[in-house]
Amino acid sequence: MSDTPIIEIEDLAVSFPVPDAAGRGRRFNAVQGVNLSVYPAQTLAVVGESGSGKSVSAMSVLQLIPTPPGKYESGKIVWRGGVPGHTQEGTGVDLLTFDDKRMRAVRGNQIAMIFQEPMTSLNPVYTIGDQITEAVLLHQQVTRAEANQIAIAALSDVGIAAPASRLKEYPHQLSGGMRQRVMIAMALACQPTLLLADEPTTALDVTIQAQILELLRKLQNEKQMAVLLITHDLGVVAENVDTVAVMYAGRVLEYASVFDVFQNPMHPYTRGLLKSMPVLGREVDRLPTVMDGATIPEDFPAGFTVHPHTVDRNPPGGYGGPNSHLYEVAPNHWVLCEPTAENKDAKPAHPRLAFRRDAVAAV
Amino acid sequence: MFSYIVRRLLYTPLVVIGVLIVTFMLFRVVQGDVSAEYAGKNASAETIAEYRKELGFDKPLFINSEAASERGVLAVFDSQFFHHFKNAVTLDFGRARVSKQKVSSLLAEGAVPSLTLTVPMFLGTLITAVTISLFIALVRGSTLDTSVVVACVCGMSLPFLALIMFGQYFFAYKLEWFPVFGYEPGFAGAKYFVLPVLMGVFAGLGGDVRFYRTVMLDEINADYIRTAKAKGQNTPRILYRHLLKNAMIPIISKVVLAIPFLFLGSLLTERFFGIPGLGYLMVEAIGQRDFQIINAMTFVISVLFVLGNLATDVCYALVDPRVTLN
Amino acid sequence: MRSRLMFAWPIAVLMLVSGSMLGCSEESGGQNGSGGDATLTTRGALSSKVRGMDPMDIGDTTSSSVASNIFDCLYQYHYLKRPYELIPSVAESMPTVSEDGLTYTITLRDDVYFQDDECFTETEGKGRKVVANDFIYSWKRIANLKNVSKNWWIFDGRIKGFNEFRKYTEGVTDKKDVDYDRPVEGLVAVDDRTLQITLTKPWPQVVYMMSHLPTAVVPREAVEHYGDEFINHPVGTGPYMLTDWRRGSKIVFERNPNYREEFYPSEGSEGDKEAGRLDDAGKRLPLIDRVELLIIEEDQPRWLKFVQGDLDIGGIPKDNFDTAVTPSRGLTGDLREKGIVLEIYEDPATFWYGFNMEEPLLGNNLPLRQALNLAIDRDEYLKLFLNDRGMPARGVLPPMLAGYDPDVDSPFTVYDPELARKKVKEAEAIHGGPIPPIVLTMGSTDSVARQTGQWFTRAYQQVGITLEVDYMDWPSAQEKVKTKSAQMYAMGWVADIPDAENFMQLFYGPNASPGTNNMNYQNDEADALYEKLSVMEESPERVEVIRQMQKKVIDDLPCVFTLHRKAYLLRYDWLRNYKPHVFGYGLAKYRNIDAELRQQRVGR
Repeated sequence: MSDTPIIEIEDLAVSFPVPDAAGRGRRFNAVQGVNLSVYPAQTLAVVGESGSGKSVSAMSVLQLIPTPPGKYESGKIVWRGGVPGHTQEGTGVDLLTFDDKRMRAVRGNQIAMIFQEPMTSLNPVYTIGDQITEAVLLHQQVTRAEANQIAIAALSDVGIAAPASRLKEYPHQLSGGMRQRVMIAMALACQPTLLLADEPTTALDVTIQAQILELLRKLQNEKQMAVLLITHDLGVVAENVDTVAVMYAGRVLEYASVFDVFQNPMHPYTRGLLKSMPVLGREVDRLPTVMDGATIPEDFPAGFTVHPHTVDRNPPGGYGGPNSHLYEVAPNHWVLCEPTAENKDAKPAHPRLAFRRDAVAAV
Repeated sequence: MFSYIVRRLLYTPLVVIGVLIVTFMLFRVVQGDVSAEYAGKNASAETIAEYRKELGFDKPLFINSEAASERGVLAVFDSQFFHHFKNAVTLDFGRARVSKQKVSSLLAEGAVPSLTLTVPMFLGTLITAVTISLFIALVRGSTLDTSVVVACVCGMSLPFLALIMFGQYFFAYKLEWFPVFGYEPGFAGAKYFVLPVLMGVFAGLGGDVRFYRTVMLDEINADYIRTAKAKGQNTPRILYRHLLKNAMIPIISKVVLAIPFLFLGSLLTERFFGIPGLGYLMVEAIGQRDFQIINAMTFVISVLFVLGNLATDVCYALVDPRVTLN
Repeated sequence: MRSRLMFAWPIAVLMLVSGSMLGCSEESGGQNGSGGDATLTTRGALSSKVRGMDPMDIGDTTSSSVASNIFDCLYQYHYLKRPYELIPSVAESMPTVSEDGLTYTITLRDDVYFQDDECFTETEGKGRKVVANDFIYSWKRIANLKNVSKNWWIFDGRIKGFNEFRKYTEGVTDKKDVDYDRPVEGLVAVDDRTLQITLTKPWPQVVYMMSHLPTAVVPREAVEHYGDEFINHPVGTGPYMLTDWRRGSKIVFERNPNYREEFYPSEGSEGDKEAGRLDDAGKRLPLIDRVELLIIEEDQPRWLKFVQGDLDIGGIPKDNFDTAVTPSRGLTGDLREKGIVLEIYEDPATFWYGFNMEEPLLGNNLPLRQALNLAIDRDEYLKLFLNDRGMPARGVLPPMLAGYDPDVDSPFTVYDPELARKKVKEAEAIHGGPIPPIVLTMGSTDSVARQTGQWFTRAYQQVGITLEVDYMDWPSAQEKVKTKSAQMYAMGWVADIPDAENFMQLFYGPNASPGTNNMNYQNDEADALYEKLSVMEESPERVEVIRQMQKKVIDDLPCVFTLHRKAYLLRYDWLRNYKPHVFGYGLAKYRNIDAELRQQRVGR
């Protein structure tokens, strides 16, 4: 296992046009100052509510944001997983500088993505087989027959029975869970180094959700694959991931290991979010809202000030104030805050955390 | 699917009978006796009566019971309706009112030049418009997209007549790239068709690009497109393999509806470039109240529509596995 | 004889008629056929479709002019002489007329043969000689009710026993069973070369009718051989044979090798010699081997083809008029340099806006009709809608007909808005209140019709009359006029024969709708004058009667007279022997082509 991240998103900002009342074009940053890192065989959960910028960040990795209307305003996405015909594994390259042709060599090959809507993310007019082999044929020097074999293996990996006969079926002939498995099989068929999983289980019922996450975990262990898991389900996070990035209003608010986040949340929003989580066996009149629990911890590390949480995602000066950045306020714990006047020398820090929960378990 | 097609074809005669009843109602019952009109101004009563006989208006509408009692049971069918029916089925639509030519030969003679003109025009417009809209959909919202939409609206607001007159004057007369006017059957005549076809394609682009652009835009944001892109598929293959096949349903609907009209030719183009097609036949027939021709054209177009609808359903099933033919 | 009834405001008529008129004079021109081929070809264009080539069935001028290449009548117009004069064609000489003016005896030429055609089975396709019975047969086809010919009006009530023959055909069940050998008292073939016609009453214009294309001779063999398809397989005696006919596109004629000996005239009228129109005097006709006619219904392509030199002769579309013709009525330099020559000639036509005289508002109110005439500025109308191609009409007859009288000017057929307003006051007094809106029926919905409608509305508004214009398609308008349900409508009349009777019958009471007198004009004195002039031989006395009748009509004003038209035509100088002819058909045989000059001008 390498001790350098396989991918690092640095200071990413992506904007979209928002026509104002006068109809004049104004641009709005959907994500801003996003910093994330994922290590090989690690699962990073990006947590946040809808519109917090999770998906935009993940899609930026593959340059899947349509431009126009979207625009990559700033930042880098450093990839160390190698690019066929371009860089060796371990050498960092900025994916945002790639043109379409070079990007295509990465997409579906080194980096694959699973989308949240299995119903619509499969092309309704082509068979499952066509769609899985499409990626295989694009990235691997194989014959159609070999590609079919790979597709069958991939389907069988994700636990689909009688995979050979499924190949000839169309998406509308499958159940939702099956379709999501197909999506995963499609993503995994080329054995990617990094899997971007955008809410892969949202549409599914709980048992299937568990199966699929289990499956991902298993495949990750087998193939040393890094996973960037986007979710708003804290239960999933608690049980499956290594590190957590909490996002709100297009910014990363807190970044730490899964245990640190759950046991010692520091950002008011994270605290509110965790408190709003229902706990099995505890009866409440109504669930507290995020706002209810969004308190500033009394023991917030000295030298840093964190702004209170606001519902307004775009207050004057931006969420968290104009000077807020991610600072490593405690060891391996990054929070969006600003240093106090006495602590002028503090530098914003890019989060890098090679933590893996199985490693902890091993300890 | 085969059995479905056979079944639908078996229904076709029923629909055709329906069409015949409707055209009969229109041309025989609602329109009524046109003998006086056919006989022309200053016609004597005898002439009108003669026309009435020739056109069959002297017979009862549906059942000729009088003839049946005189000439036997079968003569009961010697009525306007059954003659209308028989003529349509045997494609004998009589002779045109004004030119006295056989309507069936007018249609047969005109169909070839008309189709020689309209089919390339139609396919050219379709392929160009679909290609442009596919790529425009890709850059939706950009300046290029906006300019294309503006160009389309301009193109649509440009009267076809003005376009033809300009094109003929400029490209055929001034630059002498094409012949001004003329027609020859067979390949020798191909040169006469180039300019009219190009003008037709150009004129049709505006509306078509706008339509297909909307169709493509509905699909370009679809999740499966993103999936294909995330797989590393290249843009042309995403457009032609993934998007186009999904966009086929509205395209097929539009295309198949347009096919029967190909037989109607292209009025202005034919007149300006001297193509002896069906374009003017129908318009002229309406102007001259040539019901023989109008009736025949209505019938032919209706039958083409019926067949076109069948073709539509079959094409739907071919492009979209979710459609089943039952 | 009925002529071309033109329902229209003149410009639309211009299209229609100039097309057809051009048709008769436009087939022309020429070029040396492709390559070193010495075939002399002339190329012209028709502005409307040819409907069929069976003379019996032909009712429009375009088809007449085209078919006249193939078919011959007994008589024809002298090509060069003016005023127009009839000369023999298939007939050997002018007819002998009996004292009472009822019996016409006509001798046929001995050397007229039908064109070779497969229908002549007995002679293995060789055309046979024309005999007197062929004319009787051809005319009986028109009389045969089963053929529903539009041309029966030519003979209706004129020839002894012919109406009875028609009556007989009515009783025949099947067209095929009509006995063409059934005798008609007034149509007798005395021998193969002698035809005797007996009229029911004197009818001096009958000779003109015998030059009218529907009375051309057709062979019975061909009609029987081809049946209804005879319209597509015409067989005649004319100078040319139909070799290719692509309907709606192109018609090609080639010289009839068996054409009788006929020669180019050696005398003409003033100016013909100077213009070189007698250079070919005495040469055997036809002079040109091949006639190609393109059917080009739109102005622009026809114009472009002409300017390119692909047509030898052409009209001037309205839109190109100002670039082609200078204000002083000459050609612009560009066109002159190409060798184009402008021909201007008068059309035997009058246009008017008719009133339905049976409709009480207009019919009973002479001052109102006078006001409607006075309110119209004919000069402006001509400028706006006809590029000034015409002259104001002050009365019924166009200038070239005997009886035209520039002095029968009425004080009411001129533009005088002052007087018009006064007349409106008088009219209101007669009507007993303000004049209700008058409805003008327009038989077209195109922009020219609408502009014309607006122009009239404004003109009448200025004198205090409200006009409502009802635009509709031509058949609907025609139907309205025929059923006397139009109040005011656009009309015109173009004569086919150089005789004023042709115009005067439009104002004869018994011809009221659905007859040709669609104004339903009725004046006993005028009727009496018409009855008198219609049976008179041409003479100064007859001209006087015509003038008297015209005066009656002008006094009663059953319409707004608007204009007489002038035709403008262009031709290349390599087209020789061109002379405008407003009545004749089959003129291609006289034309010649200077192939060298053409080669020099357009390199083709």
